[in-house]
Amino acid sequence: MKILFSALLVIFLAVAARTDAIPQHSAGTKDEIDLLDAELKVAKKPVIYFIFNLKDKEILLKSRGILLKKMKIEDVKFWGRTVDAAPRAMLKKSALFKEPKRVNIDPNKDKEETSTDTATNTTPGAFEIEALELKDMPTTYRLEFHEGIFISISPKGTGFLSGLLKMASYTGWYVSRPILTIWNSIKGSPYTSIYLILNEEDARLVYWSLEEKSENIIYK
Amino acid sequence: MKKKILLIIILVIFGIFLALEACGIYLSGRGNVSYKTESVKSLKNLNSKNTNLKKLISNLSPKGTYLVIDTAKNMLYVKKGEQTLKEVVVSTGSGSILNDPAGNRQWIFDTPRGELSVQSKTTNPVWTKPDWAFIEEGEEIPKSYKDRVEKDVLGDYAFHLGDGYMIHGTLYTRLLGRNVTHGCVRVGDADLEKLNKTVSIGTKVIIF
Repeated sequence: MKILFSALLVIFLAVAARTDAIPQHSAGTKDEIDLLDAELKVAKKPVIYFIFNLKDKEILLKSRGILLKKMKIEDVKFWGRTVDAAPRAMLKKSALFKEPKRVNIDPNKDKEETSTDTATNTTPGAFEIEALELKDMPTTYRLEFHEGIFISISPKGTGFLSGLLKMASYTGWYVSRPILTIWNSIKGSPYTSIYLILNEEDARLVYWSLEEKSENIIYK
Repeated sequence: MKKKILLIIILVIFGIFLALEACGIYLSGRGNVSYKTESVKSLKNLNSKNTNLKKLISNLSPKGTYLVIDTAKNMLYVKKGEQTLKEVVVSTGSGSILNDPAGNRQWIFDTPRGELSVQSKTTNPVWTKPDWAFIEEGEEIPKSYKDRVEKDVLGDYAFHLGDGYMIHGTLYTRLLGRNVTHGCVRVGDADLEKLNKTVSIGTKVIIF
């Protein structure tokens, strides 16, 4: 029984190591050209776009080829079909816990109680504003792209609770991926799942800046 | 006995998971393409194509001075090429929603993202209040145009970006650095004065 258990554990670890590696192949220059081709298509439009560069472990926020922001990917796990570097629409973003909620302005609310938009306020920084800010953005969420590509983002975080949440998020991703692959295979749909760890601020910024239906590039 | 049953259960779960994992690997690996190594000649062609593409992308970037607005950090950057010439603290959209109680209209107060351009400039701009400005205050929408006009609230200059969005001055300087506007970008007086000398009609404004 112990021998069987140990054998299964060894097989499991071997499989885990193999499956999380980003698929690599020898045609690096061809890959770069595919990336540049894809970027050219998006850069021709007056939009901002993300390049999730899994190979160099960085996320680039760009517009017209200009680099606006560069974020480091602390760790990346890849599962599924190879992703070619074509512009892809980001269909949906969903937070693991609470989605940030827009404030609904109530015209009937007492203006004296709630007004923060006043030039006469003499205590700078002492008031709370009713608005969506960067700090309201989640750090653990999932992005769904066209062609069955999912990117799960989790924060690096520090501290016990943060570590626990990260472990829970990663375990959920790890356990669900083969099941979702089989399920999507039955449906005849492609499925690729990518797990990224970013620092908290970068995770919030990606959620803040990434708009649904925008075209972005995933490069491995 | 109980320990043995527990171990068997664990092994079965483990085995099922391994089987699922193996299935998953097989199914997901079917779509993967393998590449062959390129010859030296075709590598030269690829490198040439690589260079051309980089040049094409580079040609798309704005010529001359342009503005970059970071709505997350409420910062505006005056840039030329890769160089940042100036950094300015601003206020951008609150992201709040206002519903018209009388009808089907809804306004979402976001600063628009993407590449815009300065379409016109105004000195001593006057604010023509749109319907939402009255609805938000719980006031009746005036029938007369002159009742919509408000002076001295937009600062000394306004740069119009289209669709009613502007970069303009503000009375609420204590709120600079926060997401408080109805979509416009508010700038402090001194910085606005300097921006006015830099910005011209056609200046690109990239907002993220």
